Amino acid sequence: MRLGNLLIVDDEELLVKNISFLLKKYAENIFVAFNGVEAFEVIQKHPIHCVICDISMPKMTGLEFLQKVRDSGNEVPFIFYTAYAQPEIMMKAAEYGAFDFLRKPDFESLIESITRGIAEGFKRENKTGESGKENDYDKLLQDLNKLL
Amino acid sequence: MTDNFIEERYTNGLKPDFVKEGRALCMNMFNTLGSDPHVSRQLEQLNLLSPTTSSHSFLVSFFSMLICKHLDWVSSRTIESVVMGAFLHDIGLLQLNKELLEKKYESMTESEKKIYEQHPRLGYEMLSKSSAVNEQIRQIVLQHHEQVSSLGYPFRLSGVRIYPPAKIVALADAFVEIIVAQNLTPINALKHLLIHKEIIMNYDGEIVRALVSGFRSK
Repeated sequence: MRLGNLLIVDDEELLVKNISFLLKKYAENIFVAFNGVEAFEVIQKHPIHCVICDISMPKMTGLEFLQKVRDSGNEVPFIFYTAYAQPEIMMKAAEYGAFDFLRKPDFESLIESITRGIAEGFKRENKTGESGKENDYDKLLQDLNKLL
Repeated sequence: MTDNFIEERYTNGLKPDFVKEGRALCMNMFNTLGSDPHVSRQLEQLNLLSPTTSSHSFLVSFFSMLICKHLDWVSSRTIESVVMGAFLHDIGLLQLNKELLEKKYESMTESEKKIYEQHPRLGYEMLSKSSAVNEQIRQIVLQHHEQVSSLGYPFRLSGVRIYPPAKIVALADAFVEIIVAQNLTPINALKHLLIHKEIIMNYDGEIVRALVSGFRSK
């Protein structure tokens, strides 16, 4: 499994510290931020392969941070890790392409999700675009022919 | 009940061990959902909508599970969410006018399509009131009609933005529609799907490959 860079965004410092410690073997580097403003600065300076993000934070919420990142052209996987979020907010998070939606303190699901998220983050770094899709379709037809 | 809804003709071509396992899991997830009074009531109402609605939900759950089994990133926890999401994916139809539901999507007017295309969002809102249904399941319901071509609904999401487990149910849903509407065996439905490039390009290639793998003999 290739280890990538993880960004943890939450205004609860103790939680950030604990999660960073527990996830250290799943990432090459772990960056932290305590609100969306700080987090956006991190993302602009460093290649990030997956974000774990709370919703309710001062200065800039998790949703606002996601919107800002997407509007900047960055499709990095976002895992929302939150105690509770209103349905309207989660629907908006879906519109902006959140990668996963987890409830604190489910830590097992978080590990599973960041492993997938980091792998996806690497894929999105190396996306092949339309030509990739055409090759995929041709390969699918080949697979079906072998099956039949 | 699963024998009634997942008839033998719909499992033709699949490995018997998988069929047995698939039926058992679908039944377990159905019973888990049914233990919540709110969801149970909604599933009963969905069954009353038309004779084929329950069968459709079971089949989508079954083929969603087939796809899950051939994706290396899907855990047992994710399989459960996917299967439950598949059972509930059309729950939002309960909020629509029955006369509209009797029409095929292709023969709806533009304004009728706009109303129909709200059913994933309506389903999400209905399920937000139930503590038995987590956010992952609700997102599957919300996004089960999104397509990687950005031609889906309700949000017209691009491929990278669609919630990955929702892509599984989206393909299973389309696959079941082909099997039932055209009265095909699963293998022939698969052939139909793959020779129609304009259909298959709406779905994630990795997910399609997983569906194809489910029919491999080895």
